[in-house]
Amino acid sequence: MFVARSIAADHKDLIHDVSFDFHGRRMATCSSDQSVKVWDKSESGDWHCTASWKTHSGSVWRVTWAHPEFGQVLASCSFDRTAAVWEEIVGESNDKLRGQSHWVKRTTLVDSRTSVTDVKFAPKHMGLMLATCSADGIVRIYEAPDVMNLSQWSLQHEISCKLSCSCISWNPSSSRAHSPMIAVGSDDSSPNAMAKVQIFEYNENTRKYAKAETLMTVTDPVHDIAFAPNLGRSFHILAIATKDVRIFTLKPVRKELTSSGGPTKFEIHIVAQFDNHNSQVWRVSWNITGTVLASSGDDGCVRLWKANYMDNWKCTGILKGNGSPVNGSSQLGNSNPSLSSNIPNLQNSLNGSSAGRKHS
Amino acid sequence: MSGTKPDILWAPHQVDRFVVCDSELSLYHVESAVNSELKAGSLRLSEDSAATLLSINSDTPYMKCVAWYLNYDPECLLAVGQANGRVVLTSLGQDHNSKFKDLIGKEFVPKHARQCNTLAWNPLDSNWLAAGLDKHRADFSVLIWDICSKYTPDIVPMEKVRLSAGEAETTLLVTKPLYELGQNDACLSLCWLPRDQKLLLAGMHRNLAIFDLRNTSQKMFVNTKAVQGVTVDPYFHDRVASFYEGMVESTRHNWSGLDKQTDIQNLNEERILALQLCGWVKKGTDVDVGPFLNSLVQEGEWERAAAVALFNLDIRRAIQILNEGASSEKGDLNLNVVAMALSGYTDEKNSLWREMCSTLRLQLNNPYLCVMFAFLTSEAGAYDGVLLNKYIEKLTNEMKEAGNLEGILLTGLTKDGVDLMESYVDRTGDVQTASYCMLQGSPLDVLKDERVQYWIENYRNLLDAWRFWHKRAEFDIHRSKLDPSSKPLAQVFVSCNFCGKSISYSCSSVPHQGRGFSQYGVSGSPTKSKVTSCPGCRKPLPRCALCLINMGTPVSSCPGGSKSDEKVDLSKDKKLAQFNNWFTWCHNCRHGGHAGHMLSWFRDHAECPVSACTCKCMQLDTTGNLVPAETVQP
Repeated sequence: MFVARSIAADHKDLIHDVSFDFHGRRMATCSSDQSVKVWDKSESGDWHCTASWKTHSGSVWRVTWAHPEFGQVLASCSFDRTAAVWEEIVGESNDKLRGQSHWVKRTTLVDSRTSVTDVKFAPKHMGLMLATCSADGIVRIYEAPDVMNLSQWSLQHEISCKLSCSCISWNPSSSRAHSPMIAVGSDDSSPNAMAKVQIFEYNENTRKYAKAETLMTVTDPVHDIAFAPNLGRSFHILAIATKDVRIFTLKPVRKELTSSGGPTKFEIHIVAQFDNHNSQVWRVSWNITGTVLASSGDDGCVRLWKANYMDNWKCTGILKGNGSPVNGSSQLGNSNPSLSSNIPNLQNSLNGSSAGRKHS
Repeated sequence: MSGTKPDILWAPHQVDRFVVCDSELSLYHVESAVNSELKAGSLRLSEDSAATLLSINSDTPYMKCVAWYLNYDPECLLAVGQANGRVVLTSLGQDHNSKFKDLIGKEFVPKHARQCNTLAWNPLDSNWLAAGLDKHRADFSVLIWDICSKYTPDIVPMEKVRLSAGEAETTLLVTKPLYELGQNDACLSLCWLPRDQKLLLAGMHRNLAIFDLRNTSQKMFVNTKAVQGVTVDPYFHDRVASFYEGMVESTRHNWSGLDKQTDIQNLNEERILALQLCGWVKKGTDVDVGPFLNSLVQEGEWERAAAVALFNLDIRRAIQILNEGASSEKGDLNLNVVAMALSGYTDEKNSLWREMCSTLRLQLNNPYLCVMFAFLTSEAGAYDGVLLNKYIEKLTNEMKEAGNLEGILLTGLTKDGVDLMESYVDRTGDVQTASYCMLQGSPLDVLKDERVQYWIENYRNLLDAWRFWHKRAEFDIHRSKLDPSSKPLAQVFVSCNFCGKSISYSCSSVPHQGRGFSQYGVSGSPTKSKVTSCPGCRKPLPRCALCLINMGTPVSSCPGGSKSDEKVDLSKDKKLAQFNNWFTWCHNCRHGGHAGHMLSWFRDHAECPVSACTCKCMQLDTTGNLVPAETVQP
């Protein structure tokens, strides 16, 4: 059963992104009011804002957490053409509940000449690394070689996508059989821009990222893209938020069959396409096991999608933006407690409500 | 038989008579004896039967082996092999038919005296008797006698046979055998091959030999230890069983002229157990397979029941079951046809029936029906081969595709099993099952498979993300027991303030790495020897920042602190109190003390308890503020 909890976020403008940390106990929100807020969940389940500060000089589009092994680290990106990395410093107060914490900017990444539309940390097995994408169609990959020193980041790769980029997603798989991979979505509306999703793969030999696939069937502007967490599958699942919800599987063709040295070839299948939102889908997000997908759309609803044993995807729940159930929805999600709370709030309206799964 | 176990022989043609061969021969007759009174000299065999002694023959001492004459006439003729190698014909019958009077008492004497181990009458030529003797450097171990032959002194000189003058007078001694076979090895068991008068199977000391009397220079040997009690399978004449020290071995012979191949199978205990579990072999001679068959029939598994009946060598029952199946509600009418085909079973190797069955059986869908015909038409070598393998392969591949975990029975926890598990994880994302299964029974090289390591790592990450750290730690402990290489090395050690050496050096159970790392902290367990000062320089160990007691000083209970604050649940776990006695240090300022004291200090303070140290020890690691998820019900 779903329980909706409303949090008065107190952002003074639209909230563009919400992100949970690795454990699902902390949340960061960012807004057009140029600030980022960090929320902590107490043992009783209430969310308290433990930090709020101005981060950029323009709308903040996205915010993301690094893996806790690097400390409490956030990255944000903004319309002001910059991305920034922030670290939490232990607070000064004697408050038992750790009162207000203090976040310090560690670095500003200024290479982009246009609005930076997404920033994502790479999977932790790749080290302390992040990628940004901008409206000028360039994806930049930065690395901090010394994890103890968060001020030193160097630009490692620049990937030109030729289309204005709107979102990126790292393939989380840490298997040695899978090379690092990043998917880029574009919302470019120019007429000659056709395929809107590109997948780049790191090549060990050339030490560069090269294009591995283009999803030719996605021709509408893409608003969000997300690889599913890979807990042991031999293939990848990619969700795309565009004019509808689409789910693709990418099965790597065995390396022996392809010429060694080239990018991996994939068998790409579309396993789901849903237009239930009946409007633009703005966000897609996976649960921790990569088995449930949440999507949000301009219809103000959040929909949950799950596959059965035969790989048939179905809608398993619909939630309104204010958390109330939709009339006639057959089942408000299953009671499988293995779903964690990593279903973040999706694109929402002013009052900053969130729909989250309560820990049982 | 002196020195050996008594033997019992059933009469070949009278079902109710048997002979006990001990120091004398005793003939018994089995009859029903329901009342509790027994006649004198009777042995009770069961509740309703007893054996009555008919006659005793003590003419032949030094009996080593006995064989009953196979023909109808004379009924009670027995050949007795003796310790001196002589074979004597004797009788237990009351009727002294003159026709055979000259046979009684006839002796067959080998050139050199040595023990006779075994005797075997030829089933086709009733006058032939094979005797297996111990080894002699100048003599043969297998002698074939014709009981109708006469003594011919001119062929073999008297001295050579060591006959007394008196014995030579009689015509009851035969010294020349028909055939002499097998040198250099003792003969331990003999068996004539039923279809051929001239083929004799002998268990020699080191091998199983087949003698072809048509061409005695041709011999075939099979090296095996199972040389005792060799017998031919009465149903499948090319199957032979023999034993050695409790292990039964079955051998198969393929005859094509003189070109023989052998194929050895080990009917050892494991195979028998597997067969028993399938119900294909009776669990004991007194266990009837009938109830099992009935239960199968009730569940509608006619094909399986028929197959089991067939394996227990009951064709009629198998046919009957198939007919039942055909005529029952859910049955398949085709079973009648199968029953009909089954009833045509013939022993003949080259019959049309066999030909048709062996080619057509592959068209049968039901595996049990297929196997029944394979069983009946089996040729050497093809028996447990092609059919079942194909079926198993096909089934294995299907299971692997589907990721059906029951396929683990077929693949085992091997590389194939990993493929199967991969399918399963692809379908369900269930790394928990995958990790535990692969950890449980796999050999190390399977565990080292990338995919298995990947599942295990992902499972551990998942547990970490859910804050199930205790569960993940337990999993790690379990894993390091099964896969010692996964255990991480100790990374931290405590060094003495004065001499700089690790203080756990002496009580560390982990052998030193070159760098001198050892276990972190000192266990508070009272059974281990306490380290009370630095082993290197004998100076005292550091003090707790709060209670100022040196590390290593024994304490009886959790000292200091406000007990009311500490939620020490002593009923729950004694280890909790022990942990409070452990020393712990801040990695930043290196100050520390008893864990219990530190924890209670930092409940109320932010700064380090050591004066002039402003380190905010507890707040340095924010993950430490997260509560483990143990209390959350999964």
